[in-house]
Amino acid sequence: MDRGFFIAEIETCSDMMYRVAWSILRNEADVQDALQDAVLKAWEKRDKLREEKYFRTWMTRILINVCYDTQRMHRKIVPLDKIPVQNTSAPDPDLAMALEALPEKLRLPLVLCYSEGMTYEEAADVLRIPMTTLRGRLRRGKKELRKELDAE
Amino acid sequence: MKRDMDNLNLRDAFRPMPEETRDALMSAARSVKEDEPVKKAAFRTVLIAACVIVATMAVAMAAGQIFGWNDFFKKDYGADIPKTAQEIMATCEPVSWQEGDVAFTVRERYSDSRLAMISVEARLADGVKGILAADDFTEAIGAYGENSAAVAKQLGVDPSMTWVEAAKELNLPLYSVRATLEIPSELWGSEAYEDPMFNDDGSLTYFSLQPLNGQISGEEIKARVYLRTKLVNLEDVEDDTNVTKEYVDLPIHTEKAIATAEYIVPEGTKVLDAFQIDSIHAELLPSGLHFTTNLTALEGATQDMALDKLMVKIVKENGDDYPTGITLSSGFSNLDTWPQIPYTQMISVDQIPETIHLVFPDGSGNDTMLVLQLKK
Repeated sequence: MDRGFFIAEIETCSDMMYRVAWSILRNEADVQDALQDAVLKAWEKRDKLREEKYFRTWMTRILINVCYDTQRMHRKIVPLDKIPVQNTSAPDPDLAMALEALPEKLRLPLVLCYSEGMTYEEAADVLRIPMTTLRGRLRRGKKELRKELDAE
Repeated sequence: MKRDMDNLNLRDAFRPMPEETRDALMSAARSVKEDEPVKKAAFRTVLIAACVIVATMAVAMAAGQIFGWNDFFKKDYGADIPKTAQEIMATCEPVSWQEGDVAFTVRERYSDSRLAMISVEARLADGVKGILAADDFTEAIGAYGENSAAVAKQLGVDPSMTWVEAAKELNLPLYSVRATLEIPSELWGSEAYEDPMFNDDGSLTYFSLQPLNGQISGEEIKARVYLRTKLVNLEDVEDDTNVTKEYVDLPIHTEKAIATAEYIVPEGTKVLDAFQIDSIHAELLPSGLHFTTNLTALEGATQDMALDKLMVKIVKENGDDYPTGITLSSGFSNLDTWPQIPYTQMISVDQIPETIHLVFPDGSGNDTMLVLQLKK
């Protein structure tokens, strides 16, 4: 993979990466850190990408792992400026709140499949879970999202 | 006010990326240098649970053949179900029921102390025309990959079209079906799973597996099958007026273990400096080899540490993975017995290895590796 390809792909994926990182970390400072760390980590591991056409899912997997590392580091002490804020500047604040109310295990599959348009296979590969488990979580996630939206 | 779930745009839940964040991201991307060395990990990247192969294997089928468990497993996980379990499943007598316009036939059933599984063929009854889908009929037909994309091709529609859209376009009724195995909850192990595969004659095979907790062996499980058929109202997919469902009894005999064994663990062996390995048991079943690694959390170890970091991987001598076990899961389903932690996993092999290689990744590339011998 050459540098030019890498930069172009990061630019193409940037909005997707932001949404995925936000759905895990929900804090602008952490999201910014995680995005930068993930990009540098991806470049370090660029020989692990089997084919360039899989860049998006490969990059997403690296980003999610970096986000989890960030979460673990910050679990014990949460400074005031890092407490997750509600995404009230989203085009649909009610939907944003409903999505954020879901447990992450259900939220992330919904984001990958219905916000970022991944297939079941791609999302299962990113999350390192069987496709059947992914489908189960999507089913439960949609049900819970509906409950949250109806409650508003 | 009720929201229309089918027309939700989940992207509206996110604000646009702030310019400052975009600048920071692209600045990081542009900072990389062509001649920077590639970082090699000390061990191969460890995968949690099963390995999903993105480039799926094309499965060639003779006309009229119905997909079974080995096809399902091979397609997604690149491995065969152990021969002994395949042979047992091949001897099953089919059992059939009709729910509405759909005929369901249990083609395969199998159980041992660690899992119970069935495959059910769903087919439109004679004289009934329509499209048969699983329960996610508002999704794209091609969402499952090559297997379901082939259905789109047969129907003459684009795989990005949803089942509902295809039924409208072709002016055909759409049936959604589900056929899952129900096991008494006191026998449950880790998370159950279910999934369909689409046969080339328009029927589908529904696969359902429930991992078990090892408490039953050589006896009969009072299992049931949940059968559900919905004739989808194409103008109002939430309308459940035309749903038929029932539970039918399906007793399943649990196969006994073929052999059991234990591995020699040096006293005081620790992982992550927080967990002691007490013992490792292996149980060879017709469905594969089941391991239980019994650990004790030491002083200072927390449940968060166990949940976040504790992983036990059994690999071959060269570091390669074994074929994944049918339960597709590894770990501990709860921490009710804390500080004792039973960590379970399966691999698809027909023999108990003399030597096993365990890897305990710590998440930073400094993995612990143990080589253990079978206790004679």
